[in-house]
Amino acid sequence: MDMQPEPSACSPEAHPDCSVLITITTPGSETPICRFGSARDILGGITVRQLIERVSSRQSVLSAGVPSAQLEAESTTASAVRELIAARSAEVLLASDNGGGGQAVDLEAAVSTIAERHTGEAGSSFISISLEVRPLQDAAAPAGRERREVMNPPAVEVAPRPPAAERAFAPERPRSSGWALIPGDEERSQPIALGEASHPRLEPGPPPAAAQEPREVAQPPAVERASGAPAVSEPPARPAAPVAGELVTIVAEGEPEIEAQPPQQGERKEYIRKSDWLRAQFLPEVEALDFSGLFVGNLGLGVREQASRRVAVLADPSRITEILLQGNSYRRSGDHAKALICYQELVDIDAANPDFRYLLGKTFLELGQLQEAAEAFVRAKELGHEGAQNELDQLNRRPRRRSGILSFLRFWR
Amino acid sequence: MEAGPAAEANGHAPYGGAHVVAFVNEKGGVAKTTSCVNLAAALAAEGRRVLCMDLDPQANATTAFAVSADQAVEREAHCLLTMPRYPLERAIVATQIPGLDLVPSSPRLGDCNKALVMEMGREGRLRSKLRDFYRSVLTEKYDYILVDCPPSLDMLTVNALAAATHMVVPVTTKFYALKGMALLGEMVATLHEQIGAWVKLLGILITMYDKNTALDVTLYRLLKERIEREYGDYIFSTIITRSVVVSEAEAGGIPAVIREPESPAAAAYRALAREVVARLGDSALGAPAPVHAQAAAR
Repeated sequence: MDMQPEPSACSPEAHPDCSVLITITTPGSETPICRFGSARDILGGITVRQLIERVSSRQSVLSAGVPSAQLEAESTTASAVRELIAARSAEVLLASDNGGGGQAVDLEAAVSTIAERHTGEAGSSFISISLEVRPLQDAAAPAGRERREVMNPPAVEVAPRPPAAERAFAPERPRSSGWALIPGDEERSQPIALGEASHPRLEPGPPPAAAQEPREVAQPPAVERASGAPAVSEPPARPAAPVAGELVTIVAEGEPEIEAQPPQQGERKEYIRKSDWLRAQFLPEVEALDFSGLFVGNLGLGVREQASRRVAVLADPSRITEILLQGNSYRRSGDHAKALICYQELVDIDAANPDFRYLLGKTFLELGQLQEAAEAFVRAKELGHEGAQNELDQLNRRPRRRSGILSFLRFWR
Repeated sequence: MEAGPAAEANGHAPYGGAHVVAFVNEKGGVAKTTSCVNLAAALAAEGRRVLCMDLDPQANATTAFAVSADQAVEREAHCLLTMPRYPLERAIVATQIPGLDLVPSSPRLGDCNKALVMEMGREGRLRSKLRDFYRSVLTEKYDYILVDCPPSLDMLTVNALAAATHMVVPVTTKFYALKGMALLGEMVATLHEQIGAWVKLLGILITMYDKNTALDVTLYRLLKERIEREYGDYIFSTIITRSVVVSEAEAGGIPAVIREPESPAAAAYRALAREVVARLGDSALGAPAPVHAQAAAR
C-alpha cells in the first residue's frame, strides 16, 4: 500500500490501477486524507486482497483505536495506519491459523503499543479504522454513478467539498473496473462489527453506535455532523463528518481477476521444470513427424502405410473408437469376418495395444483359425494382456486332433 | 518391428560383402561430414580398408584429409558421376592415413544436378560404378565405403542413397534437424518404391549433444522414445557430444580421431566405429569377447 503523505498524490488519475481506497478524516482537518493503493499491495506479510478476504470470510470488520490527535500530522497518520493494518493482518493470520479462535489479547496489546508509541500515553480520544467490502447493490449500479452518489451527495445534506477532494474523487475518472464487489462475496457485503465485541476497550472515545456500525466515509465533514455528533448507521452511507472516535472506512474495490494474481511474498509459488515445459512443447511436434520412410528398407513398405494410418488417427482420435465399436458390433452380430477386418485395422494402427491383439485373437478363434489366434494371444500376452494366457491354456487343452498344429505352444504353459 | 538393424544388416551383399554407408540428412550443420571423416579414420585406425567419398560440393571432407585442390580437380566425384566411362578407381586418391582413401570433391560437383538432368539412369550412376569396381579383379577392395552427402535432397544424394547399402542419419537434438530427418524419410521411401533402392537405416546418430542443455536432453528423449516405440533400436548408443577438439582439427587436415586420440571426441568416434561394425554384423570389431577371455574375467 502506497501511503505517501501528500494528499494531492491521491488523485485517481495518478493511480489508474488502484483498487483500494483508504480514507481517513481527522477532526482537525477539513480535507480527508485519502490513499489509493492496489489489492496486490503487501501489508503485514499478505496482500491487501487477502487481508480483506480473510476479514470478510470471518464476517467481521476490523476496528481499533488510534489516537486521533496523532492523525493531525499526515505523515504520522500514514505510519500509524500502516502499522495498525499490519497488526490487524497479523491478528487475522493468527486467528485463522488457530481455528478462528481469535487473538484478542494480542491484538489489543499490539494496538496499545502502537498508540503508546505515537502519543506517549494510552487513552484520550481514538479514531477507529475499519475494512469494508462493498455491498452488492453498490456494485450493481454503474460504477461512476455509484461513486457519484457517494462523492456528490445532495447539497442539503453535505457541505461543499474542498477543491482538492473534488479533484480526488471526480466521478468521470477513468476507472476500468469501477467499484465492484468481490465475486462471491455478496453475503458478506454488509459490514458487521463483530470485532468490537471481543475488545471493546479499544474504543474508549467514540460513542458505541459509531463503533458498532461503521460507515463509509469518503467525504469531507457534513454540516450537521461537524459538531461531533455520533455517526448515523443507516445504509447507504452518506457523507458525514468524522469526529474523534468515528469510524473511518477502508473501501476495497473488487477485482474480477483475482485468480490472475502473481504469487506474492510469503505465498507458495508453483514452478514447472524447464525440461517438463520443453517436453510438453515438443511432444506433439515430434509425435507428428513421420519418420517411417527411413525404415522402409528395414521394415518394408508396410511401415509407411501403418504410419499413414497412425497420422490419420492422430488427426482424428475418434476414428480408433469408431473402428473398435464397429468391430464389436460385427462380432456381436456374428459377422466375424467383418469384425476381423476392423480389429486387424486397429492392430495396424496401434501395434502395441494388447487389447486389440486380444480381440483379434478371439475373432480368429471364432473363425476357427487357431494358429493365427494363438499368435495373436501370444503377442497380447507379451504386451501385458492378462487374459491372453488363459486363452492360450484353453487352446492347449483342446483335443489333439484339433490342436495338433498348436503343439508347439505347450512350452508357453 | 521388433527386429533391430543388426538383424537385417546382412540382407544385401551387392558389392561382394562390402558396406557402403551414406551419411545423409536434409538438414545442414548436423555433423555429417565430421562424423563421416572421423568414423572413416577410426575404422582405418582399426586396420580396416576404408574409402571415403565426398559427394558434397562444399568439399569439406576433401579438406579434412588435406587433399589438394589440384588432385581434386583432376580426380573427383564430378567426373565419376557425369562421365559414363570414368571408372571409380581413377577418382580415388590416397590420404595421409594408412588404409584410408578418398574420392575428392570440388565446388564443380554442384553442376552434376544440371548435367545429369537429361541423362538416362541418372539415379544409378554411382551404383553402377561401384558394381563395376567390385566386379573388377584388378582393383583394391575396401571393407567400408563411407559417402558424405550434401545437405540437400538433390541428385547427388539420390545417387548416394541408390548406391548405398546402409545409411547413417546424423541429427542434432534440434527440432529443425528432426524435420530434416523426416523429409529424408520421404525421399528414401520414394527411392525404394521408384528405383528399387536397397538402402537400410543403420542408425540415427545423435551429434553435437550437450547434456547440460535442457532442450537437447528433452528432444533426445522424445526422439528415442518415439523411434524405439515404433520402429526399434535404431538410435546409436554412442552419442557425439559437442567438442571443440573436433572443430580445431578441421583446419589441420587430420581428423580429430588421429590428431587428438586421447580426447573424448576421439573416444566417442572409436566407440561409434565399434558399434557400426557390430551393427553391420562384422565379427572382427565389436564382437563379444572370446570365451576364454570371459572365463579369465570371472
